[in-house]
Amino acid sequence: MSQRKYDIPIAIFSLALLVLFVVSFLLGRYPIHPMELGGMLLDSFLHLVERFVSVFHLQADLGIEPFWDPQTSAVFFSIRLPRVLLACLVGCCISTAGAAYQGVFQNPMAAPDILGASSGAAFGAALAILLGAASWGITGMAFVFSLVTVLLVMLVSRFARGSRVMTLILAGIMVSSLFSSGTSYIKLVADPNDQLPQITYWLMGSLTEAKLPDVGFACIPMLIGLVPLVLLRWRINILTLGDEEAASMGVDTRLVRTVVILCSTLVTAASVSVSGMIGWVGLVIPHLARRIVGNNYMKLLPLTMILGALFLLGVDDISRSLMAKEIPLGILTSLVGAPFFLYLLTRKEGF
Amino acid sequence: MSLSVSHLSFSYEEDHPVLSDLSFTIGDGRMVCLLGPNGAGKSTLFKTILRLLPNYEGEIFLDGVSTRGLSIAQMAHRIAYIPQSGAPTFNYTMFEMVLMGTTAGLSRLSSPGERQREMVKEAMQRLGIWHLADRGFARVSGGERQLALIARALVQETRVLIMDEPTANLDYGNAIRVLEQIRQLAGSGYTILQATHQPDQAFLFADEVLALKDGRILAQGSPREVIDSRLIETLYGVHVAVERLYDDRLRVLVPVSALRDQDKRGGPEEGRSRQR
Repeated sequence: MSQRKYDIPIAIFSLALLVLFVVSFLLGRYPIHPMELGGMLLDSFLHLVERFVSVFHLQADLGIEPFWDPQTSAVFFSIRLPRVLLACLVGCCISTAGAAYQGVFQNPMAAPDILGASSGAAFGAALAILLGAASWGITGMAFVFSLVTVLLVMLVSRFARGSRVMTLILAGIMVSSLFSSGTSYIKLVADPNDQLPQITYWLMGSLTEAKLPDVGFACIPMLIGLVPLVLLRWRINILTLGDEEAASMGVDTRLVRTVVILCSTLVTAASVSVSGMIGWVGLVIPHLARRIVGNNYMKLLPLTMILGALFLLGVDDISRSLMAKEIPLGILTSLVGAPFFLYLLTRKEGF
Repeated sequence: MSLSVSHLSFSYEEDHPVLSDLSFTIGDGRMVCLLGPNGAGKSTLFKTILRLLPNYEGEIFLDGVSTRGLSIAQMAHRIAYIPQSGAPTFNYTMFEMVLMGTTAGLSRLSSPGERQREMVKEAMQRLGIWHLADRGFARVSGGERQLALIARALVQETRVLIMDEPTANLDYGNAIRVLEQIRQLAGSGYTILQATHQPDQAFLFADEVLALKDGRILAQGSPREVIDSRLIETLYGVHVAVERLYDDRLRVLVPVSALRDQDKRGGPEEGRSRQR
């Protein structure tokens, strides 16, 4: 019967992601030999088994005699592994959030920053840098302000007259521009020798600073947000038909929309707070996925997650291996994303 | 399942009632045409029946049981709504579009499975659109789209269907085909309330007519009893003659002004030759 055939692209792109995931560990200025990589991965896996077994009071002495440089191991665990993991997570999350927002706002042009999640994060990060906060402080402030912005938008739209979707989008535009002007003001008063470059660099988006604790920090809100989105993905389809039709099919539109918006915001905030501004991914990837499997969120959402991770991981690999000086990720995603979107737009079949 | 409305009133703003004190009953398995000019309150009546506008006065009964305490989800088990076929934001396939109707029968977090797919196949075969299952909803004709929306209501597994001008925007052939399918559904036990702007359709397809103007019911009864030149003039402000064709086996409405124009132009003979 119809529908089944679409599992093939999901399988293909999952495999591609797996391959790129492994290859990404080998790329970069500090070379890691595939043998060393295999050894380190096997070793850490065996240590995990050892720890698992010890729960049952069994003694096991597993692990391989290291044949690799201790420096290689340090590069791998403290720099490359968190960066690769974070690229996958961030790519997956902002793409998923983009697809979900497009559904609940019945708007193919919706992106994760439609309700001001990015502007809020930017303001929070800029403020933290101005106040001289440490790296975790910047991430934390960005996360908190991102959430606060979206909650503010939802609160404002509650008091507005007119269609719920329209007022949310308009309130989003207004509150975003408010926070953007705040960010501009902070840039104006920031120390031009030291703070201003840091703010500018943060705004460009990058995973250079990614550390394992960042992955741990981002992981939790991301999971909390992604699980309900995956569970509700069938119902996002029905929300795209509009409130009245959806309600006549028994869907509590207000509840589902609120949950989807909150979860999408949570994963966007978590992503942006660790990576900075990464444009276009949340708009382009869902549309690419729509081209491949159609608009049904049952298939669309899983493929969007995989493609998002694949895309951002690929772009990040390019960003750190193309030139001697690393190109910020946000610049590259726009550089790749915009022409790609134009290509999608001008292809024969419309949306 | 019978649908009855008793002393139903509704207003969006105070002192501007959109529906005032409506009472009517639609018997089990009847097909009723709701006639009325734009702004008569047809859509508002539908929305109150569907509980999309819960702040109404009066009562709505299904098989004699008030629907007031029912949730949106419970209503979706009882009444299915068939909107006009617009183009959705995203171009779903016909199959996916129909599949959405099965959501009414699913628990909160679950999604359609094999059983729901079977139901969709059955409904689409019944309406003769199964061969279009993989086509895009935006890429088929308006009539096929409308049939898909009807199929979507069928998989909702309710006994009452409410349709908002199912033949609006359809060409003549599609309109007739859609109406024939609706007629068959009424014959197989569905209770149908259908808004229409074509009083002629009521003669062809309806068991009963409900005439609504300014939020009040002007008449209810069989099309032959209710539709006369006075009612049409009150509803739409045009003069019509009711013509009886084939020994009164069929009635049609003819605008009087059209007859007059024909006389001026020298009768139908010349008109026909001009067409040639």
